[in-house]
Amino acid sequence: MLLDPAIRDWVLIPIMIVMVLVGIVRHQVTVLLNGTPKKADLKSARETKALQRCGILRAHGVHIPEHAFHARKAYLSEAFEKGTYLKEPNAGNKPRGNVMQDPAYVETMMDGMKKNMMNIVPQTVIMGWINFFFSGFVLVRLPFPLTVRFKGMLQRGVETHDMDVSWVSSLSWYFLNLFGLQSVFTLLLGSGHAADAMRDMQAMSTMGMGNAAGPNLTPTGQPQDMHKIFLGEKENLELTEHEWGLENVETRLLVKYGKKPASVLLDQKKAKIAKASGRLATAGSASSATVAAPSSAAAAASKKKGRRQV
Amino acid sequence: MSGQINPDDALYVDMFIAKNGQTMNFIRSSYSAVLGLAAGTLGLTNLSGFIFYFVGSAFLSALIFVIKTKGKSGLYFRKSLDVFTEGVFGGLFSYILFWTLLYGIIHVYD
Amino acid sequence: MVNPAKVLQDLRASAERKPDVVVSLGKPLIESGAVLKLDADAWLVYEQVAIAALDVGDDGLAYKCINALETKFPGSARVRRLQGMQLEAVGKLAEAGQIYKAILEEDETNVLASKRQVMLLRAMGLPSDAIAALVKYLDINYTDFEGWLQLADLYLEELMYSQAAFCMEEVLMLQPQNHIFHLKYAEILYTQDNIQLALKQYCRVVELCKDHVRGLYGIKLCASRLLKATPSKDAAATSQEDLEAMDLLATERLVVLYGAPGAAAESSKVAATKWIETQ
Repeated sequence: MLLDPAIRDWVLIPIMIVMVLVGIVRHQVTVLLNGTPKKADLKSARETKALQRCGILRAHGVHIPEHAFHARKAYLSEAFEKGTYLKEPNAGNKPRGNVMQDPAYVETMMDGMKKNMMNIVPQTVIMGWINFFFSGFVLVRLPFPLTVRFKGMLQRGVETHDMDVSWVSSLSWYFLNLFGLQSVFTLLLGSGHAADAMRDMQAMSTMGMGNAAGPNLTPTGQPQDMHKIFLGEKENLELTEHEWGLENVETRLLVKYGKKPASVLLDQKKAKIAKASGRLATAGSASSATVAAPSSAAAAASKKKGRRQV
Repeated sequence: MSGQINPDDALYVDMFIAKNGQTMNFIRSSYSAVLGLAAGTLGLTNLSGFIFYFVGSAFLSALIFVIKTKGKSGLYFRKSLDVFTEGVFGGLFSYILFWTLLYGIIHVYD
Repeated sequence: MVNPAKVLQDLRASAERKPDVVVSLGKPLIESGAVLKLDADAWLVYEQVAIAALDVGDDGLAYKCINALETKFPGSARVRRLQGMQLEAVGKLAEAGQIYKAILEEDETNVLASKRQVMLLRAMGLPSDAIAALVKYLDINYTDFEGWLQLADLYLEELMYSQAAFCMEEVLMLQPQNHIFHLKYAEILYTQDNIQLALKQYCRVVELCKDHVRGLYGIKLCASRLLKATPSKDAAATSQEDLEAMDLLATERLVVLYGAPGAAAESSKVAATKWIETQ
């Protein structure tokens, strides 16, 4: 089966060109819309930075000595508990008014809407254009075979049962372009461009809920209660145990310079695990000596596992 | 989060790793598009097309490995094998698009 | 022939402060008007050259750059900050302060202006005010490790070592891979007479940067002092055997490093050997 060259010249290639051009225009428009960044509010910046600080302490606490870690832990726990870093430290029990009357909330919502529209409108227009003019066209054939399962996907808009699966309809050519043109946009616009098809897909799927994804909003569109987040973060922090990275630094250095065999480090690690599990085992089953041996092995195993997962 | 400091961690600067990853992505994107054009022009079909892509990618990786990183890709990526894997599947979509396009234009229409 | 615009761009990207290089490359660019061919980059070059010109004391060039920026972006906070810096350069500190204050009144989150304000207070010889302003700034811009470094410096000038140590701990958490910061922390600890911790930090310095001479000196100092002191009962303390090994290692590396041909001047070689022998 061969196709009329007119289809190639007037459908296949134009669709591709239009998609590339629309992608570029959209990138430029997005840049234009983002042109004036919103002035950040000092207090909300402080809120987010405090959370970040806690995260950094948990992630990089290994680099500072024991006493320094504990001082910070105590300070942050207390501050989170009291709400020192909250935007309005005393607003905890005040009933929340209608969110739609909060100008900041409405603004973030409008912003998100604008971005969503930027993603959806061009795609819908192109899809409509293709559906209107070219529905039922068979444009091209994939150079590789696919299973029948793909028939619905590739031959959208063409209702023939016995056509080979590798023939591609106009709408499916559109989808093929949507994903395949990523690299073209990367080449034309540089990475981090705004013509991202994956984001379009996301925008379309969240459109049904009609909400904007702002930084302080839950998926249901309600502004979050920062105090609750702080309390959660405080619990996370209190569960974090400090393990100092420099405890065996002398040995590491001696090993590095070849003054000690590398096996010393492994031995130290093993001894530490054994010590920790020994403590667990004695605490857990101090009375029955017979159970102690297997349980300490189990404890060692669980400790190892925890290390990898945490 | 593991409690121990991995001595090698400190050797990598996240910003540079990200930049290298970006460069790799850029190279792969352009390369997979060009590969797709070549495959379509040659009229490759079925498995041979995919083999062509993976062989081509491996060739590119080998070139980068030998010429750009001078055999020491560990200096530029967290794992030295990253130079062979990074962005290979990301480029597959564009490869398929251009392969289909050129194959269609040349071999499907009369 | 290197492309000056490219070099300037690289310097901007790496945030290196090389005012002499920037001025020598940027001055001909700006005076010949070639800078305007760089399109959007031109204004970044103007800003970069303006700051560098202030650094090297070329007030005329700085004035020219800032004027050009002023005509392009009238009323911009970023340009006004540059004007403030220019006033600072000619010694009109109070007027510069007025400018920064005005910027902050419009936009309280302006990082550049709040930083300048701190440095202005420092330049006016009011370190305690500078500390207070910097603490306020860091409470919000927590992740600015350079701010923490600056605060550590201010505390050190005031001889407040434990506060300085606190700042360095923050820096270490934000930039754990930089051995210079570990070195600074180690030196503060040593000054506080916390030899055990200082030894560990010095070890980390040498671990991150092989054969770091200052780190090796630190190890040598700490190890020999700990060896002379009565052995600590603390289980976490370094064992006597390790201390001896560290002492030996540091001595050995220092001797090797100074012994290498052309590594150091003869006089410093002699001084180093003498010092090692006395320890």
